[in-house]
Amino acid sequence: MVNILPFKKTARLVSEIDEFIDKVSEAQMVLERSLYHYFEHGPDEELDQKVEQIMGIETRADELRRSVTTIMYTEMLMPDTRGDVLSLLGEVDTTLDECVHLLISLSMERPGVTGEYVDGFRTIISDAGKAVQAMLQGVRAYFKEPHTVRDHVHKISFHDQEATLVALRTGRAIFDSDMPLVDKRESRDWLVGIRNLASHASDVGDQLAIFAVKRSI
Amino acid sequence: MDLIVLVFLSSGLFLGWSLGSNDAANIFGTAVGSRMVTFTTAAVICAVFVVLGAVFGGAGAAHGLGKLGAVNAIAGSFMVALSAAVTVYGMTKLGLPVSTTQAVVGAIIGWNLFGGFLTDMETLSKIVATWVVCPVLGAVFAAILYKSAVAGLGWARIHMVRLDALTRIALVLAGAFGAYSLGANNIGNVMGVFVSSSPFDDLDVGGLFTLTSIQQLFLLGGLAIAVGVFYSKPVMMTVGNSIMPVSPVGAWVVVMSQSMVLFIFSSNELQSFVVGLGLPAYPLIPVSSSQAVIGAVIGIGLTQGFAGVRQIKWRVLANIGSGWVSTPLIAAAISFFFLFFLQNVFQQQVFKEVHYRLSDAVVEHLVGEGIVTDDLQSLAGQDIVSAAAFRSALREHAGLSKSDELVAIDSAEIYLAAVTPENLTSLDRDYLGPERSKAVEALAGRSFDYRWQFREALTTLSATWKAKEESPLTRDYNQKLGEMYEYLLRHFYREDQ
Repeated sequence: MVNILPFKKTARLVSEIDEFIDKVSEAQMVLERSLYHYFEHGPDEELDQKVEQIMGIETRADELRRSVTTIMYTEMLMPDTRGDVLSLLGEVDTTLDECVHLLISLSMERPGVTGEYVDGFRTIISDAGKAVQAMLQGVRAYFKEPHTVRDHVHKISFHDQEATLVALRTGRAIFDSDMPLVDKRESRDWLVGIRNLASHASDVGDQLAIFAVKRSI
Repeated sequence: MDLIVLVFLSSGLFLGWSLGSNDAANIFGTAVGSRMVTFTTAAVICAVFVVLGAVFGGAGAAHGLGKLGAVNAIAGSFMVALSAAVTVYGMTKLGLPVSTTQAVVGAIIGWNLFGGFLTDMETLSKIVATWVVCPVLGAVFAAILYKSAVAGLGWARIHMVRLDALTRIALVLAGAFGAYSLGANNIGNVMGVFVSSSPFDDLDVGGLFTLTSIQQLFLLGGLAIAVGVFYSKPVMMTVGNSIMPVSPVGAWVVVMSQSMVLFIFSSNELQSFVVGLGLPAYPLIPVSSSQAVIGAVIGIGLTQGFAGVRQIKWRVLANIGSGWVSTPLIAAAISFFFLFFLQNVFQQQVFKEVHYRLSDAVVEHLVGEGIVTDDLQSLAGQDIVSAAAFRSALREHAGLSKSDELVAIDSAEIYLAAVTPENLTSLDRDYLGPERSKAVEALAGRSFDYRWQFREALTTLSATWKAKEESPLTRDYNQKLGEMYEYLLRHFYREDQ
């Protein structure tokens, strides 16, 4: 097959990759709002709506990722960087899955985080969110301006470290308290779960940095 | 056309096939190896543009080798091309760096030595200089293009996916340009040695245009290269996958740089433009596309500072340098031996003897040129065979300067021409124009012993046959006039010398 003018597919692929990243960004924001809402109002109807919303986002994102993979293979696009791109999109999709998993778990488990530790949770949620958003900006930059990827990787790393520090501090405070052990362990699991978002974003950032260098050679 | 002629052309066609199957990889190797362009697309584009380049752009570079030695018998041309092909094949098998151009140059020198013809040292030194200039120029072009491309892409912020599509198109266009340049430049390697003994007559194509005898020769050679291109898949995959680990944009830079180098050394128009700017004229001769590619890759490496320099395989460069000496020497030796074999075992005429005679007319002509001829009297009237023997005689009897010696050799070369009513009828008057044709017709019934006599006779009859004073502006005119003289001398050639 003569494959020298794949412009139509190109435009579709660009738009699908962009929409996929939008969906992951949206999922992270839904999770963040849901967590804030939960710590303020506890479990209610809005939380169930957010679960439905994030599941819709995940379905669309999966469709998009499948389509991108198919187009890239069938049209033999970007043969030299296809592996990197698909691996990157896979990692981004894992972040989305983590967001969905956290929100569904929140809706099912309804953890009892008491007032004095909510600020710690809020800070971790904020830092993890910023790390994920910086990661998504880095991914967008990888496609358009690979030389700026480093700036985003730097931000991801900063927010990951901040989230880890706050998680450590909050965790120690929880375990130093008189809370029953079962609640302590539940709170610890939630701290680690949210922090893992930032940690995974940081791993993706490391990969991004290498992929960006590969593109510049 | 006789079957025997086709047999003799076969070595050139083999050389063309081998060039196509190897050098097409320099143009489309990276694109195909990295699967940016399918092999079929690459091969079709490459084949079409190689033929176009050979037929319509081949004249410039092909004559460059003619100046080194005009192989004047088709059996000789056959052996020269075969020697070059054998050299390329053998050295490739042995894993030694080889360039078709260098093999052809060596083979022609072998023919010159065998036939007692003089090798124009000025032309040879220019050719050797281009071997050095070719990779250097490739590196310079690549460095400039790569820097510009990186800056341009950084500024344009093109999405990676769109860049991929644009790179594919750019690779195809650059490949087409590269194939055209390869055809235009390297057809001189394939068919250059057959130019002086071309078996074709000018062909009128449906009243639309005329394919000259040389263009038909080049069409045949171009088709041989084009066929070779379809056998280049294994080499393309090797080139694309292992030798040049550059990005697709880098691949585009390499192809463009290499194409520009080949184009520069084959375009008459560009050469005239450069001379028009007051810059020195450079020779139009076939150059090695592989070495231009290696130069271009090094050029990209150099733009990346110390890290890039560290990656350069300096041994490859040393090998190229050694190839500049070893390839022509081996090809010359093979050519000499093969010609001896063909002449003495198969009783074939591998060169036409050229006779030199210092007649009274020649002496008078030399005096007119301001050359002192007193010491030459002892040579007067002697018939001397071969330029080398005549030069030895000149050196023995007269102490002429190098330039005077060349004028004397040129003037004493016997070339019999007769303007008869029969050959006047088939004269291409459209090509010459009415006034020039009239002057030629006025020569009816006359015959000439030397080229310069024929030229003198025409310039006396019409001012349109006079060359203009040499300047960048008149260079084109004089070159075309020279081609017309060559056409007429071929047309009125008399066999009985």
